Amino acid sequence: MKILECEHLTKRFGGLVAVDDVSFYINEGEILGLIGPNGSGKTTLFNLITGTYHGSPMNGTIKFYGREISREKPHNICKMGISRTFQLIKPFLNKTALQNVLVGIYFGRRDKVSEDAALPEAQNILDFVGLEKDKHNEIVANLPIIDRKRVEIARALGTKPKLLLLDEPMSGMNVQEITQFSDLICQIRDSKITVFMIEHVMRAIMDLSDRVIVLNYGKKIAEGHPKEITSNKKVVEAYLGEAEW
Amino acid sequence: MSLLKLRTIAIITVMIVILAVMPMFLSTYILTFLSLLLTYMIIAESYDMVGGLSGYMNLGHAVFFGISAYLFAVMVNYGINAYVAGITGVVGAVIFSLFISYPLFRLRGGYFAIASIAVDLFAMYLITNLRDITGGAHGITVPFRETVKIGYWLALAIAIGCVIHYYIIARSKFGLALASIKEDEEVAQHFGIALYKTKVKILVIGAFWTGLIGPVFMYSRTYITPSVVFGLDNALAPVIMALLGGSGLWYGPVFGAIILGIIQELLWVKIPYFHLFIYGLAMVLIGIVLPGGILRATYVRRIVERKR
Repeated sequence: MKILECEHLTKRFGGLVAVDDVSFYINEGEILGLIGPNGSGKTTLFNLITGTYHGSPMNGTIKFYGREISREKPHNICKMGISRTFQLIKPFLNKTALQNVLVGIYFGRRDKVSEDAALPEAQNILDFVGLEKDKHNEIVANLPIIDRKRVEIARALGTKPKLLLLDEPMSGMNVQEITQFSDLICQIRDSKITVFMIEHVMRAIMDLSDRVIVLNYGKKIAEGHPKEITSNKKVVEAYLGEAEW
Repeated sequence: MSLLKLRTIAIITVMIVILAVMPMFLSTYILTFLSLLLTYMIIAESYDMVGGLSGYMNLGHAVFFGISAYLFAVMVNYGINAYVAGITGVVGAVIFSLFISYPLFRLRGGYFAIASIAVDLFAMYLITNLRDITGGAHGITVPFRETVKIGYWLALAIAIGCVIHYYIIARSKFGLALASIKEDEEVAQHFGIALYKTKVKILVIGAFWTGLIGPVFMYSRTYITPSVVFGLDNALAPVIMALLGGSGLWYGPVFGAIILGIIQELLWVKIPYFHLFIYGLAMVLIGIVLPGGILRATYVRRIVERKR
């Protein structure tokens, strides 16, 4: 079943067409990868789906479980079950890790959660993303980047999403951390959350994704199984430039 | 834990009782001054509900104070019952806050602050020029006598209510939503926080508490002019009090109001209007030396934490 369907999405910033007539879908339960060179419109696509540009013009339709959401406000989209992380991670730095997750739990869900139920749940989520127990009550500004990234994902998971958008979760990580996060993303998928992720770490995205979409200059240039993508001539050209001989 | 809580509650109760019986023993001058301090506290505390919890620096917070005071005074002068007039004053302030929140909350950061001070000045000039109703720049009086004690008690009750409400909000889910907005609005909206609704709600709550003290201030003073309630020093005072004490802490604005209130009263006798200079100086010094306010300074924190 298709959880998200986008048709003919176009977003312009002045003369720049950031996303140009992009159509794609996400199947429920899969991990869909999104790759493309810098400035190809990947984050803009995420922003379109989560309603960041609410109120400014765009073309095309976004359907979540068959329901049109391209006119909804971001907080409503979150309540419907789409959550996200940010490329330059943006946890609430002056709050504790637990409070960050609690924001997701309290406000990001359609049903109200009581304070007694929310706290243990927040702790479970932090355990799930692998944040050590003694860091749960630490102010996020005091945590290293890797833990902030965990908090960022935990906050998104707190909203109990059906679809999770991860914007370059593994950028700047070492090999060991990439392995940890790959496992985490697999576990997220196993807990029945569909994942749509942007990633530049090719090894991770090729291992994890069921399918991959490639953007270049705002246009979708390829779609398919990771293996097909790596041998696709257009994709190779987009990344490495045209062969001139 | 519960013993500590019990002790805290006991100390607070004793303090409130002492404050409540004070009018029996103190001179009218001291009592008037204490009422003024309480008024400052309430305005600073209710300002900080918006400024400290949600991060929106509302430089025109005095407008709610002025509007409720003037509504009350005008209605009393038309012969309407004082309670009805007081309630109308509060309702007026709340409705006005709803009315201006739509344009104001489309702005952010410094733009919000500038626009909010414009609202305050707009109200001041409007009331100054509605001479037939408000008495214009000459001010307005209400025919009450022996008002000091009752005014003090009312102010004390409102101050206690306001501080408790601040405390509750800061620890509630609503407070967490406000904190998220303060940290990063763009992110907060992606986690289910309805920005506009949340911001309006806190502005209305702030306007309500300020609106409550307006009529009381009018009642105990019996005479005000537009520049007393709307003037720039009254608009800036709560902001500086909150920043000086510790914006975002429930006891911060209270502490700031006491310090600046006393300084102002001491200076007023010797060098009138010199307190404005002190406000400016305080603002500069807070920025350089104590960005988090006095109560967030490391050595003060150490004392507070040792007591715990």
